[in-house]
Amino acid sequence: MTARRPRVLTLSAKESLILELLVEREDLYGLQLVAASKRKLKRGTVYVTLGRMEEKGYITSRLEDAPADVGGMPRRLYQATPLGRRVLATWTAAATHLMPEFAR
Amino acid sequence: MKRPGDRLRALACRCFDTRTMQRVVDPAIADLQREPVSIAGYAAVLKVMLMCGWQEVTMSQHEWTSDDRRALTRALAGAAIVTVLVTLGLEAPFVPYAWHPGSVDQKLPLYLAPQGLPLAIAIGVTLGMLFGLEGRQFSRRVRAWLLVLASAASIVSFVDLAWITPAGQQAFRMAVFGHPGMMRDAPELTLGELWQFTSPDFVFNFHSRFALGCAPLVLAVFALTIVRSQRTRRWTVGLTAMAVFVGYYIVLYGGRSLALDGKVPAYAAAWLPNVTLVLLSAAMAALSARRRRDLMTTGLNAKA
Repeated sequence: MTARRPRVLTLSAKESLILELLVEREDLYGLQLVAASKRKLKRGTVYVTLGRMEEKGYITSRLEDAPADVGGMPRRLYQATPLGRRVLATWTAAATHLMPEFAR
Repeated sequence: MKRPGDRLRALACRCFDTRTMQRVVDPAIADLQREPVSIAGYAAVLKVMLMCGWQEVTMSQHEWTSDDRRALTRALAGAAIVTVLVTLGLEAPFVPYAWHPGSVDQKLPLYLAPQGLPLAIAIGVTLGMLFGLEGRQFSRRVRAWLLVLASAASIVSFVDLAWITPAGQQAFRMAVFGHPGMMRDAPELTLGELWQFTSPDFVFNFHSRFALGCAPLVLAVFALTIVRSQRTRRWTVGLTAMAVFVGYYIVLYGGRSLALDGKVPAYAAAWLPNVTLVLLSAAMAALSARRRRDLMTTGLNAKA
């Protein structure tokens, strides 16, 4: 997957949900996001969506500081960036303004 | 000690670039390794890998390098030209009969065309890849694209063998012999009809339609393995192609004789050429990887 800069900032329903969760609670890893979304996010697709959002600049990630005795690779923790927060706020405001019946 | 998902990760490393590995595949595998092992976890990682593969394949054309574009174009053009030429070559002997004064039916070559198409596709895919990619630099993306296209060719072959060829064969027999109630033999039966028979000839025919349908994909894998080898030369490519086609049909029909004699199960005989080619490809890929590793080690030692 090569880096692509999107020409228009778009936010899909899944991306919006992920941003909401990350704004609420920082530093979540993929499976925590799946659990927190109450099955709206699927384990098989969340990582691809997270990768795409990182390319768009909506979120940032870092590897956790796992203790040495824990078996397995370190997990990747995600945070919303200021751009991601602004996009979410704008998107939510636009949705509320244009389609009040769909506003959360 | 192997951890859950290590093998999948090794496979993914061969298919995806570092960025995709770090951003998408590794987080999925890290979560798999840190949770209790479950089928759902493995399925999720596999799905992630499939999605990444699909993204790689469908990446827009302007992101391709000129080497990649050229390699893909040459391979596809070569495959298309060879497929058309072989189909025409197989049809040519029947054309004079169709246009002969007093010919029973001018559509005779048309009825026989589906029979030759799977063979033409298999030869076209192999030669197109061997000569189109030989001596060229191309990326994993081209390989992925070619494998997707070879899979599509396999599906076309299978549909042709399963339903179109039997109908064409029967239409040919009707046109030539003209008996509406003529008994149909194994080649004239569709897949669903063949399934009901248990004699070795019918069972072999049933399985060989699946096996021959898979042939373009298996041959594509073999051709890609050959062109990835550093020591490929044009004449060795041609010789290899000839050897593969001849070998494939010798193994197929040798297996059929053994199946009809009851010495091997009919399904095993039908799949034998594909299995042989896959094993051969795997062995060649392993040898090629070992050679590359040795070259790298020699280079590093020389630098040190």
